[in-house]
Parts: sequence; structure tokens; C-alpha cells
Amino acid sequence: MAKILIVDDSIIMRKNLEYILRQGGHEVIGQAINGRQAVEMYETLKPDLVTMDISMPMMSGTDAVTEILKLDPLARIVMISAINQKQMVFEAIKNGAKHYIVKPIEADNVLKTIDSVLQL
Amino acid sequence: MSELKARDKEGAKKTKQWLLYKKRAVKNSLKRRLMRAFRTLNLLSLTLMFAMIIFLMSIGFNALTGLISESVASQMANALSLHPDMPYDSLGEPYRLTALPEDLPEDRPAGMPSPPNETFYLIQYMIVKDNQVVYESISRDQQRPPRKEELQSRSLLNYISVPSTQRITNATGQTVGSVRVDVNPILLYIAFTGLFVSLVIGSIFVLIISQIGMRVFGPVVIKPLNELEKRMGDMANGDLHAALQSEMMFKKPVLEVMQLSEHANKIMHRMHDYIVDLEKQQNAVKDQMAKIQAIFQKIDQGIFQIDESLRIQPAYSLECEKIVGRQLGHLTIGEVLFPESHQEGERIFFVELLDKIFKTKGMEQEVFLSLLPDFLELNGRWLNIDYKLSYDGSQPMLMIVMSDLTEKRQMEAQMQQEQSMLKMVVKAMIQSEEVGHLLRAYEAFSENAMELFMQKEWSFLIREIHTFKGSFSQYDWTHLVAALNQMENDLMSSPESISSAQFSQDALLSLAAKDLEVIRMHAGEEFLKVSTVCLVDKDKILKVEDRVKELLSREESREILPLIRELRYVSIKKILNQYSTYVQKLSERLEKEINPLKITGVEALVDPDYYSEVFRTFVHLFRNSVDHGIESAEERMAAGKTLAGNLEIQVKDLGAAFEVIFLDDGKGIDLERLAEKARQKNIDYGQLKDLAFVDGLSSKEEATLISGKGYGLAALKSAVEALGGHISVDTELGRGTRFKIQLPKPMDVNDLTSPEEFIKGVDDSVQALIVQKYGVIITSNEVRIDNHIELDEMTAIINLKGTMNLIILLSVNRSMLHRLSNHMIFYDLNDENLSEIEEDLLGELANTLIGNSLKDFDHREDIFHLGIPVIMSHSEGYVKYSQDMITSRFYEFETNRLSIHLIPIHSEYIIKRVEEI
Repeated sequence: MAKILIVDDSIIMRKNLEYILRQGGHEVIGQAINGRQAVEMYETLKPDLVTMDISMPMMSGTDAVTEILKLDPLARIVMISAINQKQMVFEAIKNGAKHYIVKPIEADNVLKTIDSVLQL
Repeated sequence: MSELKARDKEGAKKTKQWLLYKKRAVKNSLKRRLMRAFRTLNLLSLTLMFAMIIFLMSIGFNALTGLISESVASQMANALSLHPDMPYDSLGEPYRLTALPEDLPEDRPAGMPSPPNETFYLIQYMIVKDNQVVYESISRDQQRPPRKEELQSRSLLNYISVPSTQRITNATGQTVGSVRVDVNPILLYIAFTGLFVSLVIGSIFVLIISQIGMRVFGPVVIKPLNELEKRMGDMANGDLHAALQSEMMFKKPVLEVMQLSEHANKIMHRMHDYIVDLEKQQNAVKDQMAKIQAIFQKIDQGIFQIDESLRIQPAYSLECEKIVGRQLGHLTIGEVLFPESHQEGERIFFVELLDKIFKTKGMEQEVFLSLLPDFLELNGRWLNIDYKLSYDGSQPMLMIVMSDLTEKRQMEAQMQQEQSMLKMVVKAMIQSEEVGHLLRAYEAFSENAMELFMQKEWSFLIREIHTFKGSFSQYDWTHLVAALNQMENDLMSSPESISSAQFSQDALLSLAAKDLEVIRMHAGEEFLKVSTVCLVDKDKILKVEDRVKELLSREESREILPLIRELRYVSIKKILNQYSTYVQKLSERLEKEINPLKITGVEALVDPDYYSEVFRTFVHLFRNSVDHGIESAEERMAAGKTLAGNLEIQVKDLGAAFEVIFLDDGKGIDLERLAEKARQKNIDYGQLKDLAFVDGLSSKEEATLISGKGYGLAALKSAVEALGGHISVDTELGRGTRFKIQLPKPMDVNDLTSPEEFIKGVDDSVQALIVQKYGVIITSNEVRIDNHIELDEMTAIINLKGTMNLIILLSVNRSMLHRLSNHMIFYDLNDENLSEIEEDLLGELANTLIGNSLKDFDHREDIFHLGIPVIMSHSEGYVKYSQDMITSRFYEFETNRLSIHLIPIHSEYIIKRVEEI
């Protein structure tokens, strides 16, 4: 049971993630549609974990990770991306994300990854 | 450890027990045991027999002495009864012996001759009368007192000797006395002793016999056992194979041994099978080991394993030593991969990471694993490093594979250098004017630099040098740029310490010399020397072009090749424009009025060498047209046409081919007349239209110098067809003629494979996601390459930037999107709002499909940036792209459609006729 902030520009992804996380017993405390909104919401909501899309308008997920970590160096962020490219994932992890999920998402994998990050 | 010790202890104890056991067994060999048993048994039975014989002898003696004494006593009593006065001693006469032989103690014949010397009585007797002993034979014969032994034996004799007493009667039968007779005890003693001694001797004899018997027969009994023992011993000590394969057989089998040997044989057979199996397995393992060893010796990768202690395990490939430069045995990985003292930070990070990997599990471990460095510089070598986690029992092991990329990198660096050099040459050729100006400016600067330096105009110098650095780097003058960069840095840090010689004109010019030399080597000695006009030899351009194709990546050459080609390539319009003067002169000579040649259409750049034959034979079109096609002014006026005839050329780019259309508004070709001529000359022809291109036919009665021999168009046709092209004619008598010539573009593999390769990656992710994961069996058609596409109901447009720049279109109809939405949406959804999110749905689909397909390019160094999808909804969309081909792939499932289109981005595209719903 964790308080989670979902960041994704696609409404389908947001709703899918919300559904999966609720099923997994988590509480979705906020949904941001771009990086900038995500940083603002992180500051006010103080979630336990953030799921972060990489490619979004306004501010990309990768940049949002950097901004959020400036606010909270212990922030737990899981990247969600369709880009199945090592360098890209590496970049996000180097920026401070704790883990990553490659689209298409699957409920089991999402919950497993989030649980393992919550245990860190 | 303690367990091991305990096991050792137990083992020692067992060994001790075994030794003790063995010692006891040696003492108790079967033979010994047999002998001992025999001996004991013999002794026991002999003793028993002995006692029995003694007992029987006593009884015998008892009876015998009783009988003798009885009969002797009754004889004596009788004699005395008959002759009372008979001398008593005469009574014993018949029983007197002399020197009796011992072995005949009892043989006592009555009539034996008296002994010559000593008197010896077989019996002794005593006569009692009136209760008075009147005679006693013994007291007279043997006066001496009895010895102790005699007394003892006498007491013994008392058991075996039975005396007899008989009454002596007178005539009236009255008892007057008695006579008592005993067998002579000495005799008895002698007899008894003799018998005893012979018995003992007999026993000893029997013992000896049995001992000998046992020595002789014992081994016979044990022999099969011994043989078995020997065989077993051989088997245990000697050639196992021979022992296992031999069958134990005995000459004189004994049941038990035979059974034992049968069991042994059975065991040995099974052992043999087992050993054969074992050997096979061992050989297989040996082979495998040898192979692995060979691989480990020869493999050109450094492979080793580390355990939790981060120590390198003893088995590693030979290449490791080559890479690391020393033996690895038991070193820790940190000191091997980061040996330098300045690498301490990296080493600590690396070791911490490994420590975490060994201590974590699952996802966390994977994340840490992915953080390990992929590349490493060690001893001046560039290494690519792969990691593989495995388990040796419960012990985690990390396998590390080092591949030496040094040579590859060196080659890449060299390539890089050649590439930038090529770029420099190409840019110099293309932009010779600008480069020339820049060089002139630099030369001017070099004249004044010394003066500026002497005046310590540092900031001005820095600004100037900085500007030149920037300008030359645009044209890839790498050597000059590096030198200017150094100079700029020096000026900024310590201008006072720079030698003024560096700013001499010669010194500054020499900085540019190297790059200039390279350019002139490719473009000619005079290149960039004289100010404005630079001409580059065509052969030199061709050579550079070949180098570009060879050295530059597909994407880079895509950018540069058209530029170089511009130097050499000429537009079709320009080539054909050469004919306008020809047409003009020809019409003047033939006194025809013809308007200037009109050329319309695209600026299609072509390799003039490639199409030279075709465009050279175009002359026949013009000649025929001017000579025969265009009528005289009078004829034209009569026909109601403009006085001056018109010739027009249209150039089109069809994508895979160019199309050149040649039109005149003359009188047309009289095909019927040509057909008649063909019949006259017995020439076969196919369609009527083809007659225009048949050799030796001309519509003109007499050939003029200029045309009419009827060979020209045939030459054009063969030139076009030689390039795989096609020519056709449309003609209408009195209206004009229209030739259509299609010329395919030369195949350039470099330009075409890239999007095809990419669309294959997209197809892989379509198969993985839609077919396998979602279970929607869509069928795909072949890859289609065209210069226009038609779009479906909704289209997502994604921009892909990176080493390949593409616009990707994913077009679907709504039913396909609705079909896929079942798999893409997890939460409950009613049909009403499906239409609201369908754009989002398509964007998500495009993002996932294209994003996933990028993993196919993971092994490359390409980095792609995937843009955010733009969604268009439209009933009909049409994309036409004039400059390049659009690579497409179409998928279908029932009425559902999906298509993917790739548009290379180096030139513009147009989307026409997009009608919003």
C-alpha cells in the first residue's frame, strides 16, 4: 500500500496504470500529464512512488526525474517507456530513476517492479 | 570444516577397525582354523577312546582273572580234597614258569616246560585250614617287601584282579579248609602295562596319520577357495578389464565355491557394464573438457568468473592474460580491471556495485547488473565487457567476458578521420568559392598576425583566431582547426610565453598546409589557388564519390552524395536544352518555322555518363520531327494550325524512373504507309505502333541527308532498352506525335536498404505485440515502395531523429483500433467514450510499436529520439513525396486495416487533400 503519482500524457496509460495500481492495493494520489505538472504535484502530494513516462510534451520524463530528485533526493521513480533501448533506460537510471518498465505494460510486471522499488 | 574433521576422524576409526579385523583374519586363516578343528577333534576322540579302552580292559581283566582264579582254585580244592596230604607247594607246579615272555602274558598253556632258571608262578595261592593259613605261595617265593609303586598298582590290581576261594572237603564232604587263588599281580601288572603302552603308541600313530592326512587333504578342500581368493586378488590389484571380462571356472567345482564364484561372476559382469558405461561417460566428459579447454585456449575473448569474494576463479581463458598482461590466479577483479592508482574512484564504485549484485536478488540485482560498465580501457586496450550471473550450486558466480575492441576502435578512428577528410574535400569542391574566400582571408590575416602579436593585441588575435577556427570547422579542416584551437587556448592562458615565431606568416600558413594538401590531392593542384572560378576534373569527382560511398555511413552519404553529384550530375532539362540550338539551326536549314524548344517538368539530376547514349540518340527524335513531323508554313496554315510548329519536352520523376515526353504538333506518322512498306519488304512487325521503331523503314520516299533512312528511332529504342527503359509512341495523323520514354534510375543499394531494414524491425514488433501478445492474427503484405501513399481513417505521425531521420506514419481504420482496444485498455470502458479516446489509443499503439522496434538497433551505436505522436483523423488522406520513396507495409485482419509508412526526412514531403471529418 503506497501513495503513487502517475505521470503520463496518454489518458489510456493513466487509466490503465490507475486500474492496475488500485488492483495491487495502492493508492493513486495524483495524475500529471506532463513533466512540469509532475514536479509541481510531487512537491504538494509527496507520493511514495512516481511512475514516469519518458516522452511527454512540455517537459520530458527524463528532465522531470532530475527536477524531482532536486526536491527530494530519496524520490522513488519508475520510468515507463516504449523505447526498448538500453542507452535510454541507462540514461534514466543514471538520472536517478530506480527502475523501468517497458511498454506494453502488464499488471504483474508493473506491480512486481513497483514492489521491488518500494522495498529499496 | 568441523564436519570435514569429523568425517576424517570417522574414516580413521574405520581404517583402524579394518586393520584390526585384517590382523585377526590373518590369524584365523581358513587353513589354520581347519587344522585346529581337526586337531581338537582328534585329541578329543582319542582321549575318549582311550578312557573307553581302559574301562573295557579293566572289565576284561576282571572277568579273565575271575575265571582263571576260579578254575585254578576249584582244581586246587579238588586236588586237596582227593589228596589231603599232597604237598601244598606242588599244587602250584603246573603254573610255574621260567622267564616268561612279556608279550604273552596270558598265554599260559598248561604243559609248558618249566623255566630253566628262575621260578615264576602264574598264580599265587593261600591255603587255610581250621581257620589257620597253612600255606602261602607268595611269602615263600617273594620275600621282599612290596615297593610303593607295587602297592599302588596293587590297589589298582585289586580292581582288575578277582580272587577266588574254594572249599576243601574231605571224603565225607565236610569242609576242612579253603584255598584262595589270585592271578599273579606281577603278571597282571606286566600285561596291563604292556597293553597300555601299545595303546598309547597306537594313539600317537593315529594322531600322526591324521595330521599327515590333513596336510595332504586340507589344501584340496580349500583349493577352490584359494583359487577364488587369488582371482579376486588379481581383480583387485591387476588389470581390472581382464579380470572383469574373465569368467571364473574350476576344474573340480565345489557347490559352495561354485555358487560363490557365480555370484562373483555376476557382480563382475555388472561391474564391467558399469565400468564400460563409466568409461564412456568419462571419455565424453574428457572430450568435452578438452574441447572447452581448447576453446578457452583459442577464444579471442577474455572469460573468467568471480565468486562472492570477488576473486578470479582459476579457470579462465588464455586471452585474459593477454588482455590483462599478467596471470589472474586469485587476484580480485578490482585490482585486475582498475590497476592504476588514479582509478581508485572507479574501482570503489565497481566493487560496491558487484558487492550489491552478489547481495541482492531479482529485479534489484538486474538493475545493478545493468549499471556495470559496458566498456573499459585497460592497458591501452578498449574492452567491451559482458556480465552473466550463474549459480555454482548455491554459490553465485559472475561470468565476465571481455572482448578486445581496440583494433575495431582504431579502425573506426581511422575511418572517422578519413570521413572528416572526405567531408572536407567534398565541401571544398562544392563550396569552392566560399572556401576560397575564407582561405584568402586567412592568408591576409597571416600577413598581419606578427604585427598584432608584437603589439600585444591579444584579445583581437583571440577573436580573429576564434572566428577562423569556427569558419574552418564548418568545412571540416580538422588539422587547421586543432592547431588554431591550441593557439587560442595558449593566447588565453599565457600569451607572454608564446614564441613570436608561431605568428610568422610562414608558420600560420603551414598550419593550413596539411588540409590544403589533402584537398588538392583530390581536387587538383590548382584548386583554391586562383580566386573565383574553380573547376574540378570529372574523374576526380567520381573518385571522391566512390570514396564517399565506401567510407561514409548510409546516412552521412545520403547527405553528401547529392552534393557531390550536383558537381557532376546534370539535370535532364539541361542536357536536352542543348538540342534547342540544334532545332533552331535545323529548322532554318529546312526552311521550317518552329518555335523555340519548350522544356518543362522537374529538375531531375542524372548522371550524364549513365544516360549519355540515350540522350545522344535523342537527336533522331528532333531530326525526324523537324524534317518530317512539322509541316511547312503553308501546309500548317491550310490545316488551321499556328504557322510555327511546336516541339515540347516534359520531364517527370516517377520515383523509380524518369519519364521524358517528347511532343510535336506536326502531321504525325503515317503508320498505315509504314505497314505497307513493311509488307513490301517482308518485315514482321507486332503492333502498328511498333513500326515507328523498325529498322530500315521510313515514311519518306527518299531519304534526305538529314533523315528518312528509318534507322534513327531504332537506335533510340535500343539505347533506352539497354538501360531497362521503355519507349512508346502515340501519333495522330494531322495532329502530332507523342513519344514517351521511361528511364529507370540506376539502382543505388546505399539509398534503399535503410528504410527497409527499419520497417523489418517495426514488423517484428507488430508480430510480437499484435499477433503474439494480443492474439490478433493480422496478415501482412509485401513491403511496398512508392512515391505516394494513401492513408486510412486515422493516422499517427511520429518523428524519429537520430542516426536515421524518418517520419513514421501509422495508419489504421477505426475497426482495427476498436479491435485492439480490448487488449490495450485494462479498465472498464463503455462504447460511448471509446470514440473519445481513440486518438490517444492510436498514439499509444504507435508509441509502443515504434518504441519496441528500436530494440533491433540496440547493438548499434545509434541513438534515436522518438517524438510524440501527432494524430490525424480524416476520411481520405494522400501523401505524395517527390524526392524519395516511401516504404510501406500493410496489415489486414477481416475488415480491420493497419499500415506503416516510412518517409526519409532529408527532403520535404507534402500531405495533400487532408479532409477533416
